[in-house]
Amino acid sequence: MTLFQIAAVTVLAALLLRDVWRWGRSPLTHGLRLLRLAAWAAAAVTIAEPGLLQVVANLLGIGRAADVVLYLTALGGLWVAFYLYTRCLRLEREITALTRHLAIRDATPPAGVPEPSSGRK
Amino acid sequence: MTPPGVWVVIAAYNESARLGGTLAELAPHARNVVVVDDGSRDDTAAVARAAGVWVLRHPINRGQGAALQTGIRFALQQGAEFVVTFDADGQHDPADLPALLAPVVAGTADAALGSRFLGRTVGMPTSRRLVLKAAVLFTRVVSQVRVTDAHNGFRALSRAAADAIGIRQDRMAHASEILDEVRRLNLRYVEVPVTIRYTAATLAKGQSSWNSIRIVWQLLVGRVMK
Repeated sequence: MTLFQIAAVTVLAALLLRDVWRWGRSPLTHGLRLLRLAAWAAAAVTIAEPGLLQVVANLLGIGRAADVVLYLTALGGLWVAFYLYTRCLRLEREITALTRHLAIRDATPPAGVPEPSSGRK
Repeated sequence: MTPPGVWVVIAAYNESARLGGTLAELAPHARNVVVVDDGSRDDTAAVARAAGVWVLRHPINRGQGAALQTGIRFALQQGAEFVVTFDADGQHDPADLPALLAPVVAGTADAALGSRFLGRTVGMPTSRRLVLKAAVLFTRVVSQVRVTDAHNGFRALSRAAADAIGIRQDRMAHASEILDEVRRLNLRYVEVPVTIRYTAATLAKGQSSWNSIRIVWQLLVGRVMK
C-alpha cells in the first residue's frame, strides 16, 4: 500500500466507525445512514484495491475505471442537488405554515368587530 | 351587496398605492373582506386597516399563493359559506361579483372561475394575451381542465371547495394548482365572463411574461414533491 492509500483508508475507516458509533444519534433516516456507510466502505475498498474498480468497469461495459468514478460522481451530484432542493422546499413550506399561523393569530378586525376567537392568548 | 356568508380574500404585497381604491370600489359589493398583507415593505396593512376590513399580516413575504391560502383559511374559520379571491391592484371589477357568485350560491357549481377571454379586457398587451393563451393550452394538456383563462385570480368557491383545495404553491403557480385541485377533487366548475382592467401601473408591477417559465417549473416540481 502507498502512503496515500494508508492515509485515505484510515480516514475513511474512521468516518465509518464514527457513523456506526453515532448510529442512534444521527438526524438522518435509516436509508441515508446506510447509504453513507456504503459510500465510505466503497471508497475505502476502491482506494485500497484499484483493480477492483477496473473489474466493475469491465462488467458494466464502461471500459475505464476512471469513467466509472466520473459517472458515479455525476449521478451522486444530481441526487444531492435533488435531495437538497426537496429539503429546501419542505423548509419553505414549514416557514409558510408558521407565517400563516402568526398571521391568523394576530388578525386585526375592522373597527367595531370583536377580536377573532383564534386570537393571541 | 353579497350575501352575509361571502368572504372576499385579497392577497396584497406592496399595494398601498392601489389597494385603497380597490377596497373603496369593493365596499358597496362585499360585507366581509380580508386583506392578507404578504410582508409588504410599504403601508399596505395601514391602508387596509383604514378601509375597515379584516387585516392579516405575514411577517415575511411568502408569495401570493401562500397569502391566498392564509386568507381562505381565516375566512373559513370565521364561518364563510363562500370564498371569493380578488386581486389587490384593481384589475378586477367588483360589479362582476354577483354573476361570479351566482352559480356557487345556487349550488350548481363548486367553483366559479372568472374568464377574461369570455368577458372583456381593457388595455391588455398582445404579449400578455399570447402568454395567457399558452397557459390555457398548457393547462388543458397538463391539468386536463378545459378552461379559457388559466390564470385569472377572480374566482368564487363554495365552503366545501375552499376547504378541500389546499394551495401548496406559495408563489404564482398557485393558479394552475387550483385548477389541478379542481380536477383532482372532481369539483363542479363553471367559467364566468369577467372584466380585467390593465393599467400602466398594474403592468409595471405585475408578472413579467418570462415568469411563466418559472411558474411551469414550480408547478412541475410541486407535482413531483407533494
